[in-house]
Amino acid sequence: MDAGSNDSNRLNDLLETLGKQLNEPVMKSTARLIIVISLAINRKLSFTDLLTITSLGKGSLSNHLEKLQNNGLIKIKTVFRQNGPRISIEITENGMEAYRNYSTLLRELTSLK
Amino acid sequence: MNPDELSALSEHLKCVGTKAVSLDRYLQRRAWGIYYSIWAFSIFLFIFLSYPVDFIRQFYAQIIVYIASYVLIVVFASYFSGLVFSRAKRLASLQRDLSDPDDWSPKKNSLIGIMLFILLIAAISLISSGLLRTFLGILLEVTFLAFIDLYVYSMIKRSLGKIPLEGWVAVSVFMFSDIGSALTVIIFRSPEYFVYFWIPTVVAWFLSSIYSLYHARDELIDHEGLQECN
Repeated sequence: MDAGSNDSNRLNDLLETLGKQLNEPVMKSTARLIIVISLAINRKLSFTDLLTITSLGKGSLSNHLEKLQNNGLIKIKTVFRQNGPRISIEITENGMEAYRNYSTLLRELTSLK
Repeated sequence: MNPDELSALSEHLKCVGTKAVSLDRYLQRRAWGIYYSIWAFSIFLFIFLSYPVDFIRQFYAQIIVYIASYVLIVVFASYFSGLVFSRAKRLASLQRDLSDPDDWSPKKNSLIGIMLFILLIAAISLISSGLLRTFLGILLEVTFLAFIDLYVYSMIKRSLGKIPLEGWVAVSVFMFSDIGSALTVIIFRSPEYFVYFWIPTVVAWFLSSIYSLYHARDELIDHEGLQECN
């Protein structure tokens, strides 16, 4: 097997793993990837912050978050504050793994050019 | 995967990454706003805390309150600074992945880390050896604080791309206070006026904080939704 074929197999594996982690094909995933990337950078964000940065509707964002939580990428917690309950979203180790997969895929594709 | 599919995938991942970076600047600018206010308040306490503490009559109680308060301020402010800096570093790392591989320079980053570590050790040794009242001590202290200022400048640049107005104000006024306060000690041969040069930094950082928090949403203005990456 030549080096080019090895690279291609590796990229396919990474792509497949990331797709499984996000629960949708990578090429169709924008919102979920952005949520994972933002959480990987900030570690923890409020639901309101994610609403602001993604510009998604509440229902749509909740749906994406539920899928990511079911796949173990994030943890959703309700924190009680003086001014009422607040939803906090934290990235898990699996979520960080998904981010690392994204980052590796991006680096390898960039260096192929 | 054929070359066309590879190219489309690469473009898609880059688009999502670039979008995430630009959206995250809103959160970063807000975090910098809180950073300025925490340090404005901490420097204010550093300057004025001694006045109420001086009212404590018992010598040992006074010393304990002094040390406990200053340690508490430094630990809290440093902890928050660490959070802001690590966020900035993680964002910079993603930006590096998005850029041309020829631009990567990991050695430069580790060199900055080593230099900062050496300067930190030097500053701690100086403070503990009481050298701060000598000319050499003042010179090293100014250098150390100037280095911190440059480090903050580089962190703002890494996290926000372009330094915003409040960033320029905060960094410039800090440098002014650093050099000005050292000059007063050298000219008047007394640390009496040293603290007054830090009052402009307290005011400027407090105003920078308000400006930064108020204008953080400006970072979202160019945001046209997530659909454009699909």
